[in-house]
Amino acid sequence: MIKNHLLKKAQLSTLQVIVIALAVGIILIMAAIVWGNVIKNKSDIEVCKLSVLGKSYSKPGGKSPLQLDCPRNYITFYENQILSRTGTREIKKKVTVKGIQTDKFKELTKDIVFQTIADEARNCWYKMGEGKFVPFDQNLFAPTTACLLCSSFNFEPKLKDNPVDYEGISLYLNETIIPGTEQTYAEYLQSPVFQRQRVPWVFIPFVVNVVKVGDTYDVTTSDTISTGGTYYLGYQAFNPTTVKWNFIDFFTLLFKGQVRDEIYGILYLINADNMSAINCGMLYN
Amino acid sequence: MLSKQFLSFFSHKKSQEGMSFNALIGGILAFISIVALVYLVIMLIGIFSTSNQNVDSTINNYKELTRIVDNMLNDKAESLYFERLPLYVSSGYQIIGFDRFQDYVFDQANIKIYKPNSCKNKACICLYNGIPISNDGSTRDQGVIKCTIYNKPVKFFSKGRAYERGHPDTFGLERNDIAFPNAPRNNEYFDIAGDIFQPLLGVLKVHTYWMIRNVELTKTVYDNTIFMEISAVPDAELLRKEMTLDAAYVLLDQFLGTSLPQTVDELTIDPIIGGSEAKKFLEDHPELYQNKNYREFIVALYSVSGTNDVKNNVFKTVSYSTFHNQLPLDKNYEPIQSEILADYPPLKENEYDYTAQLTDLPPNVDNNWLASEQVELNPNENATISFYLADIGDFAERYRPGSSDAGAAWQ
Repeated sequence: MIKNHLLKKAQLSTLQVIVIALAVGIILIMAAIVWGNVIKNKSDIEVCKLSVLGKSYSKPGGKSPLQLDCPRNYITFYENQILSRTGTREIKKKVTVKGIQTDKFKELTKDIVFQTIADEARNCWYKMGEGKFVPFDQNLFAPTTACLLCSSFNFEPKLKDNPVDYEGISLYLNETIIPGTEQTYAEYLQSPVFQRQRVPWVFIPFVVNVVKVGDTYDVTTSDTISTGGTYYLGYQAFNPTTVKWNFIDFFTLLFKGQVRDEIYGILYLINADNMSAINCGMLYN
Repeated sequence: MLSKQFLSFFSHKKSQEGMSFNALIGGILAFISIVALVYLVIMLIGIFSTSNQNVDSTINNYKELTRIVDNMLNDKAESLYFERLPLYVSSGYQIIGFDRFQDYVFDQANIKIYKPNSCKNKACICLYNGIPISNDGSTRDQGVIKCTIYNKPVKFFSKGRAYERGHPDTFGLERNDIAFPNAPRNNEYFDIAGDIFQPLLGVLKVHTYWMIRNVELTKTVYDNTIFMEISAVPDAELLRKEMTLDAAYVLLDQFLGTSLPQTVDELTIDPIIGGSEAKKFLEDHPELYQNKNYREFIVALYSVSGTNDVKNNVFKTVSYSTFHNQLPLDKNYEPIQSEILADYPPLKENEYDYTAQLTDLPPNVDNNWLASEQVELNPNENATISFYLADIGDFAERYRPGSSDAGAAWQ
């Protein structure tokens, strides 16, 4: 009798089953959305990298029929969150605050801003094959330099109205270890072309600014990100000897589909208002 | 008999086998040759055909612009602002916005451009190859690559700004029908041209390029109409260049004792002066080296009489790339970088007597560095000293056509 009663008690009513099923369903859907976004985000990176790889190595005569699939990321910093929009998809960007990954925080800090920029820089560098690929045309009529915009960083109007300067992005990149690795951001962003010593610079670890000095304007560099500004993070590839008409170059171009091996690219982080301070012969995306 | 038959059969078979073996080898060789030939042809076509990357890039940038416009139009907010959108438009291409209720727009040359048929009676933004001319509406689809249609009652316009030397703003004609509270005063039809020939002094024409510039987008809803402003944002670096160029004019005015027409983007002056005079001039004008604000646009080339072949007068570009990339100067790498960026021939100082690229240097560079690279003049020889007032990109383009895309961005 007691046993029967307990069994009856243990049995769930239809309503309870429906509620539990609904709860499980909602949790699963939410998890699927979250994971879907994570996977989509990761797959976007891989799709871009594959397209870069494909385009870089399918250049008969220095010209590839393939297209790059690397859309721009528009990052907007808010007081308590960061939104990242790629195409029509918008996601909340996660950052690590006090050791915990989160997409909400109490207030925007220097660390959060730098973390986001560093993360985007790492992704951009990874997508572009760490400066080893030139995913742009290299035939005789191709531009000497070509750029691709990875991310644009902006701040919500409230933050823009009372701008705060965050100093020390170079230091952050130099000292911060990339999660899950033993490398700092600066070490990663400068390898391996840097090690060839062909180019004394690969990553521009500062922001290019144009400032008014008296009656003239001057170009300066800055280690500061201001919440009053907009910044672009991009990749610039050089196509050094495209138009060189010497024998070796011509035959390298003919048989390898690209000119010499000294091709390289750099990452740039620039104040949006000074876009022309970088020599981009073309902006791909 | 049998053995003969057998032998003959055998030898026939052998020859048949030999033939088929030869045929096989021949076939393989032929196949390899055909593949190699096809590969070679594809390579040659690739090398010598025009790169269509600028077209792809222009289309990609057009798509990005129209997508942002679409997002803003579909947003419920009545007032929206998109602060900076870098936009690349290649030479020969044009992006034009058509209003919903108007069948045409005017460009700055007062040419009436009719809305393409695909837009019907809706608002749209279209990408053109070439300059659309459709004064009578019969050729309204000519040159249209793509149109993005918007179902909302939109009016596209741009803030009218004065023409700036070397870099145009939008290319639409002035319009007076943009009326909402706090609307900008001077407005134009929204028309971005990749390149234009701008008339100057009624005779001269200057070729200017859009290249990559930021645009800002503002949406305002008023009186059942969506006013969508897409305007070019003045680039701080371009402004700085303008001021620098002005300073360069003033400096050359002082030297020549005459006033130069400032409406000309490039100027060549060839006073024949002796080597000692040239040297004295350079010594007397240390500002050419010391005041970096003047340097960017003045190039002085010197050669002895009779060998004034500019092509052989290789000039230095060493500080150019460093300056523009704001990098620490490393002398050893500089020639490589300048070669890379603008495809100049490498510096060979023994080929000329004197050359000075009076260009800007990064703030952290010792001014003596530039001077230390120079070759002494021979005071006894007559010389031509030429001063070119021009963008470095112009130089590259003039002497090495097709090589100055990097420089073109600066025009």
